[in-house]
Amino acid sequence: MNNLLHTSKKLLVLALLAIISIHFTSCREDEFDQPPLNGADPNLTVNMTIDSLKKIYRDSIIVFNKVVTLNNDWIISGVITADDKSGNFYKTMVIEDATAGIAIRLDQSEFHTKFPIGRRVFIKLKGLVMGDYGNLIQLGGYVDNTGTFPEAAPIPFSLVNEHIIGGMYNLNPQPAKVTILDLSNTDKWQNRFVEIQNCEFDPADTNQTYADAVLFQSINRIVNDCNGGSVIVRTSGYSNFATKKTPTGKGTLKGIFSIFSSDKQMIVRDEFDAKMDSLRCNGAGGPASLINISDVRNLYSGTTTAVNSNVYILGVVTSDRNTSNLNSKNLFIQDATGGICVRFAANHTFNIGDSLSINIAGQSLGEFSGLLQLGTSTPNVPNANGVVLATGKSVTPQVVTVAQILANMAGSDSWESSLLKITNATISGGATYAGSIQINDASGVMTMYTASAATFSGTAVPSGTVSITGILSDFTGTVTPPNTNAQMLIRSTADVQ
Amino acid sequence: MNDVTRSRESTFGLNPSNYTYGSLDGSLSIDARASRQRKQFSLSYAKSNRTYNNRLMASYGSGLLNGGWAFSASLSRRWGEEAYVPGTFTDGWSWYGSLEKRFGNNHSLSLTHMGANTLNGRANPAIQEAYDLAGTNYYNPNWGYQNGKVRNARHARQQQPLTVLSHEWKINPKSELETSIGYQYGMTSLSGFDWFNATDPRPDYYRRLPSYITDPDLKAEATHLWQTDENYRQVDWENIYNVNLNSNETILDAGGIVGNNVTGKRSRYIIEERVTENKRLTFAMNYNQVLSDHFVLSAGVLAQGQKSENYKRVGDLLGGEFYVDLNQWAEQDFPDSSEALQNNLETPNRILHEGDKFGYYYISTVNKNMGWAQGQFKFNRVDFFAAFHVASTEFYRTGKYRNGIFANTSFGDSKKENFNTYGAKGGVTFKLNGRNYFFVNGAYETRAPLFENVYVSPRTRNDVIPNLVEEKITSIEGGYIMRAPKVKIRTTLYYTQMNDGYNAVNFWHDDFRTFVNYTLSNIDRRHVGLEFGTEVTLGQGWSTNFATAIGQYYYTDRMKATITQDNNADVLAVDDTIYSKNFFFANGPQHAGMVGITYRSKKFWTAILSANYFGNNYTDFNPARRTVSGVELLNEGELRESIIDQQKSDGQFTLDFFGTKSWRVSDIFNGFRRNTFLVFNIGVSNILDNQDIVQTGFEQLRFDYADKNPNKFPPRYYYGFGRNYFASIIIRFN
Repeated sequence: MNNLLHTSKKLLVLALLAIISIHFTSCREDEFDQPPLNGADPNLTVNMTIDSLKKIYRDSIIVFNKVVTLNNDWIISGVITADDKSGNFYKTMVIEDATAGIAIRLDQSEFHTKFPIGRRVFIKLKGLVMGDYGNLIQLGGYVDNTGTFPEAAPIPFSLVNEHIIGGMYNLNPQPAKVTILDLSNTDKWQNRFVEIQNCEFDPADTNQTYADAVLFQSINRIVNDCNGGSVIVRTSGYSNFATKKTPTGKGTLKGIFSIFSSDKQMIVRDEFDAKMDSLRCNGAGGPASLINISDVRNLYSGTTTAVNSNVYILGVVTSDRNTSNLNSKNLFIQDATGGICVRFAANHTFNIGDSLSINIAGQSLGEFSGLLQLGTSTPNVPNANGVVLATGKSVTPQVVTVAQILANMAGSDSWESSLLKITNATISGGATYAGSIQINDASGVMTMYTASAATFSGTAVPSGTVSITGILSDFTGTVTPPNTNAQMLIRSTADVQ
Repeated sequence: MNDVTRSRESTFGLNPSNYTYGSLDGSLSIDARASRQRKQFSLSYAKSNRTYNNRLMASYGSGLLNGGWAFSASLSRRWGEEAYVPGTFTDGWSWYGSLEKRFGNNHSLSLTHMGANTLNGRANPAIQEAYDLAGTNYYNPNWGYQNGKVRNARHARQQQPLTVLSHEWKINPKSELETSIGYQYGMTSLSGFDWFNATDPRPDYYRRLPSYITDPDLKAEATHLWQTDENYRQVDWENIYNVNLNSNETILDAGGIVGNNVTGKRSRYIIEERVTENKRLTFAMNYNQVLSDHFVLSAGVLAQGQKSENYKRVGDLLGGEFYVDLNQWAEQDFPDSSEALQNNLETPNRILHEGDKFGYYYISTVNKNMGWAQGQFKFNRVDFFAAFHVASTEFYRTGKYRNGIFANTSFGDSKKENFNTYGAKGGVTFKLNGRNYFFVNGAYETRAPLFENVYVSPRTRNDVIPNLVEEKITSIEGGYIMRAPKVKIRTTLYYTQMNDGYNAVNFWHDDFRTFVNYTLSNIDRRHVGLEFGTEVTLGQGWSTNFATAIGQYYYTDRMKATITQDNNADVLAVDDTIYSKNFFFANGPQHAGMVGITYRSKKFWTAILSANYFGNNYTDFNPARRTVSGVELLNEGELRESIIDQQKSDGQFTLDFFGTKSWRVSDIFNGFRRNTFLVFNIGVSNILDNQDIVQTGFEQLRFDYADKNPNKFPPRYYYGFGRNYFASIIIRFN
């Protein structure tokens, strides 16, 4: 009996200790359980890749523009790379798996609230159709025969949840880095999320709206790389970023690569897909470097060209817009190395004696009736490119003879558009300055021209020996003697002393 | 029936009983036989403001008469037109009779019958916004004025009389055999609205609440009406009758008979009664044998068979002439099929009148057998016991209607589900001395799941959750008891783990736009905690007691849900994960404490004042919210947390008083016998009138999946009564 007592006493103590420890270790931990933060994938087995699916389509049709119905119990899965949030993808979801991308048309408005970019979806293909739109393969709910060609129509709203099942989200899909040349393989890349490196909007398409939000029209903008390759960036007028302006620099362009027959297109999800804030291919967009006017003149090769570097000229304005002896859009500017005529896009307000810097990156350089001009082609040099740094400067004219002028014109042409002075000369050929009259010095004869619009065109020319200061111009239409293209343009009667 | 059910034996926790194997929290065995009743007559009247207002009770016990007969009877009536909560009422009778005959010293036979017929008007738990607008936590949306009288749409009826024939055989001074056979039959029903092609008649339907209305002027108007116009926030019976009286319709091919067109007032609203009719037969034998001074052996068998008929019937046509047996919710999913709309394909488009069964009709059959044996060993310093049982349970469903959507799986017998279960328990009590005891008990058992928890939708079909398993329960408790003349202490630490349980819930699902059944499996729960109680006698009639229970009752694993619809044969999900780990079980306050002081006077009166604390009362959670789709696409933040976290009600205090005084009547009035006593009792609970005690709270199962707003269908609460009392006066004599 005592043994029994003793044993049971011991057992009791052990048991009590056990209970106390079970009790304290089995208390509840602090946190309520919760579902995983990024959701979970459904219990579906993926048995088909997007690439194989598209291959089946290509193999099963003779030419494009047919629609096939999918009757097998196939399930594909992919991460969403484009949704309808910005309005640029209308009733279309673009997904991609490791092998390829594809678009799915679904008739559910604001579907991005359920199926946003970054969510994995599983598509039950049985009952869906596969067709193409301009060679771009897409999935839909049924065949739409109302157009020119049969098309895959969007999956009806009531069936969306039958076919599209959402999985994990916040997956942050990354684009494949490609070049425009890579994208020539349109089969591989269509509907994939890509990022084109080192590209910029075509100059005509920089700082322009992505699309026409007023008339709800889509606009195609061109993006070029620095090797001559280009793609279209097509944006719908219904996009919520249609009024945003395209960037002016160079950088990367993300988006869904799309094709329409032979057009290569990038469809962006929003304005942040274009991240271009570096110097452009031609260097423009960053701080410009100073170029001598003589170097600018030497860039001209005989045909109109563009100044292909990020440069500016700095000189003093030698022409006087107030006396109107030249077109109000034009001026002559001269630095230590030479002078040049610049044509602006609109009547400018730069005055004689202004120390002016003009950014000429990308501007056209060509001859207008023989006179070399910057901004000779429209659009001319933007007025905003000219910045007045100081006023009241003067340029000392080089003293030369007529014969020297004619020889320079025939030779290096380096004095064209610069300020010159002819001494010991006489003026003949007209009572007033208007039109073409002659300058005679001991070495020869040359033309002096005054526009009828000039303020002093009606003033009588002086007789006797004078010194004449003026800008040397070139006009191939000269018909009056002495039949040379050289012309002196004075700024005012003060130029004749 | 309090008078006749006083003879009872109860055990706590896992301790052994002589009468049954027992459950985790003990057992209660009531011996209601005539011979056990006191020989006396008593008459009492009580008044209260709780669930009923008046109670009249009369009981008689003959005691053991010559010839070995004993007879006892009791009759009681409870009634009250308006109890504590507006709109609730009680109307009940109960009765009891028992006749016993002793044959010699060794045999006795008794026949006992008892029953109660009750009719109650019920209250529904409402959302806090409704309580706040109505200005009271006892707002009851179930009632409204009809012709100036209060009418409650939700009636609960109950009548389940029990008859027991039992035989006691004292085989010899050391062994005894008891055999009894009991039969219980009866019904319970709960009534409520059903409606077809009409607006929801419930005054607290979510669209009627100001929080749903967006236009600020309309919102202000609705708020004002809720706050000031009682009729606006209660059932509009007049409108319901008007709609029905103006609803003239022709039903084509009524009853499935071509050309049988019935024209008349087709009720848009009815009161339906959801009925369960029960029949239960139980047979039990208990054997007790004293084998020595130290060892008592007990054993027993039990067999029970039960059939429940479940159906609903038309209670009141509310002014209309007929109703039609159709599944209105199926019209959306099957707009072109008239078959899918049928609740019973055998009688399509059946015209219904008051009393007709409709909607669903099935029978559940549950049969159980159990055998048990137990040994109790008592020694001077130590007691121990060991017991085990084996049981088998079988149940199945029999469908009486061939449901239009589940035509092949609704009619006839389902597969019979069988479960063989067993359990063992044992314990030791160590008596340090006459006053101090230490005890340890442990148990392990398996249990069959319940019928109602494993059929995915017993109203419509025979399907059960696949791969059913038994629930496994492990329990261990230990404690200390002290019994000294002036101090009594009892403290227990307990731990129970219950794994693989099942539960079934059904609700209207916003995303799927149909009634949806969530059948939950893999429910693992843990109950762990401490109970402590002490009573101290201070002397001069004063004593004080203190008790506390501090527990954690929570889920220890993620449940799985199989989701089905009532209007579609598609299974929506199998084994969907419910992230339920560490959520609390909503079984009331998990922390409770009580302090009381008692005075017992030598002049036969007693007064008790006690203060109570209730805390950690958790709101039952909606499993559908704690899923991947419940928080789909929500990033970490306040909204996600508000959907996931479980609410806890504030801790509450109450103060209670109980007093009793008895007189020997012959001391006051002449002419009464010496054994006549008059007893007066009064109890006042919640003296401080705390009306903020949440008794139960539960999240609605309907959830706003579109906007993920947990406040669109907010939780519902039942509040505990404010100050309430019960006073009774009893006269007894023999």
